[in-house]
Amino acid sequence: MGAERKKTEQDDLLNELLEIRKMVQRGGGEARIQTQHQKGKGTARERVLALLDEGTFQEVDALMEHRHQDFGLDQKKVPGDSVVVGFGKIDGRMVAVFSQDFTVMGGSFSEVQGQKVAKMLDLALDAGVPVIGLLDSVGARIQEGVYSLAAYAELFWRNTQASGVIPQISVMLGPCAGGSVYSPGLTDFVIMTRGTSHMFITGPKVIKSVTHEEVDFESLGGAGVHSAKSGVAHFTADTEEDALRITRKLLSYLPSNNTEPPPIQKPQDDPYRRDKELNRLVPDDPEQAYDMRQVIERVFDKGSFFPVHEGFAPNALVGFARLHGLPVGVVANQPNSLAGVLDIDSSDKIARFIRFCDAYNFPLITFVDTPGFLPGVQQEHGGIIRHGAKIVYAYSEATVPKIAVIVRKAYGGAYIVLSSKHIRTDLVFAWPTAEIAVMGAEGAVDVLYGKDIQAAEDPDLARKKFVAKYKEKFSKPYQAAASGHVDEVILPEETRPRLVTALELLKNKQGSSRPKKHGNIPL
Amino acid sequence: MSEFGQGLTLSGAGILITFGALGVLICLILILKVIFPARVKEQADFQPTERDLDQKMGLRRRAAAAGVAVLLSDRSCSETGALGSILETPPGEWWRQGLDRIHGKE
Repeated sequence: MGAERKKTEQDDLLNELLEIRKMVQRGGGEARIQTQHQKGKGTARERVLALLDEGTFQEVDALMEHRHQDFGLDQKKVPGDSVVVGFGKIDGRMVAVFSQDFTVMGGSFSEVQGQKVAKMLDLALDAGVPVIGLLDSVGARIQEGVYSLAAYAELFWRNTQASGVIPQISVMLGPCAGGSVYSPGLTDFVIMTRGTSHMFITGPKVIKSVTHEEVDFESLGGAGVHSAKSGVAHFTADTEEDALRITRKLLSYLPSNNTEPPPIQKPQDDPYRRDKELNRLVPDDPEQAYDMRQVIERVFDKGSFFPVHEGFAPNALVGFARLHGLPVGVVANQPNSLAGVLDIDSSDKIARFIRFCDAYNFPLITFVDTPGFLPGVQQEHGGIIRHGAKIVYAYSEATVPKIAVIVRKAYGGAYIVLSSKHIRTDLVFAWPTAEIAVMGAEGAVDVLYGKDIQAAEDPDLARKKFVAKYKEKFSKPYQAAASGHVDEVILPEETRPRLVTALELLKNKQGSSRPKKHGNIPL
Repeated sequence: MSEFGQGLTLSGAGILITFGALGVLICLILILKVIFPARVKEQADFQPTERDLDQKMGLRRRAAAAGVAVLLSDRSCSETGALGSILETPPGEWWRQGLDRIHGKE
């Protein structure tokens, strides 16, 4: 009889927990969930479950509630508050995840939300697992005043502490305004969803009142703007599902933390593959453009190139790829856009990517074809010196294996900064089409033989002769190879097996850097 | 005559004609050899000059060098070298030591 009563009491306790769980699952209520669905958006939990491997999600702090009374907050208590936090697996690897719940007070960032996310970040840092934030929030919870701001600051501090230790990914699935944008801004990768996600410091109304500029949400801080103009977004997704798919794919390249090598996949492509098409990819006319992406896709494992920052500064290409299953970071100029010139945006894009690769042990492979830095008052006044210096700094600082392939033009400062031997690139290969010079032939001839050309009977003919003489010396890689500035001149078709061999040599490379608090990168 | 007998006769005739022709050809070769003997002595008298030898050696050297070059080129990218096998396993202790040094663990 006693045992039966005990069993009934236990059942009540278990049922009570199940009831609480049901309540937690309802979030901000059925009506708000419907509204969220009508907008084409999922709920916080639906998103987490869609992101993670089935049956792996372990929620924590599902019962935390806020403790504030002002402005009617005492009437608005929801278990778990405005964020879902926990751990789970993606492709069998552990990740930490938080997902802002828009159905609970618009996903506003409360003191409790801050505490939950901070606890999860601390655990992720201790465990050495990546953190993924699914963001959909109106911003700080105004009713909580400084408590909400303090919570944000705690998050920003942790984002900074985790930077370079565990990969952090922000998936923007709704609004993110005001100071809250600095959390995704501090993370390694930002994925924005077209149409539903927006990021800005001040919204259209404030902008209108201050500067009298009229702008809508999409033009101000939509996915298109941040992926093409500001460079805040690294990836753009068409739908939520697409954003989560990109997140999973991105994670397949990343190590869990900075003490691990990137995850090796079973090789799917022939390491000996020589693509004859590479021999004809660079046009005979040095002024003619071509698609560097073709080079990358033909050299690395088939279908493995995963471009980052694709819409931003298209004159440079950066992204992850696999070489015989090993993830590497790829940096390249894109002659198809602005002739592959280096400008402010492409410098920022390249430098940031290099630093990520170095932090997380990705070998760096650089394909060079650039006429140099973009001339112009706008660029000079915009700080091309400072921005361009970031590339030199990033390459010089990087201790991971560094391999460069000079495909065509490597002129002037751009030759130096783009992974030259002198900034400690381990191996520099050049294609027979490589041109390594201080500047292009036409400009150089003007400087070197300007007076002679003017004095000549036929200036045009003299000019042509001088250009031909200059090209004979510098439009081929053999002078650089003879002096050891290029390690080997290779056939384009040989690039893949050569890179595989080079990576095999450098796989266990020991990097070295002098002890210091931190360097002073020209930000 | 039966069909079998006819077939047998025709086959025999065919074989006889073939081998007969072969015998005539061999006889012809032997007769011609007797009439026109080979000038072996003249061939044996030939002495290559130093220049001929140098040229011959030069050609041999060049052929050998070309062969080695082709071999090296093939070997550097040949499918017998287990290219990429080192990349299939995680980096080793040497790498770990370098990483520890950078992270200030030493």
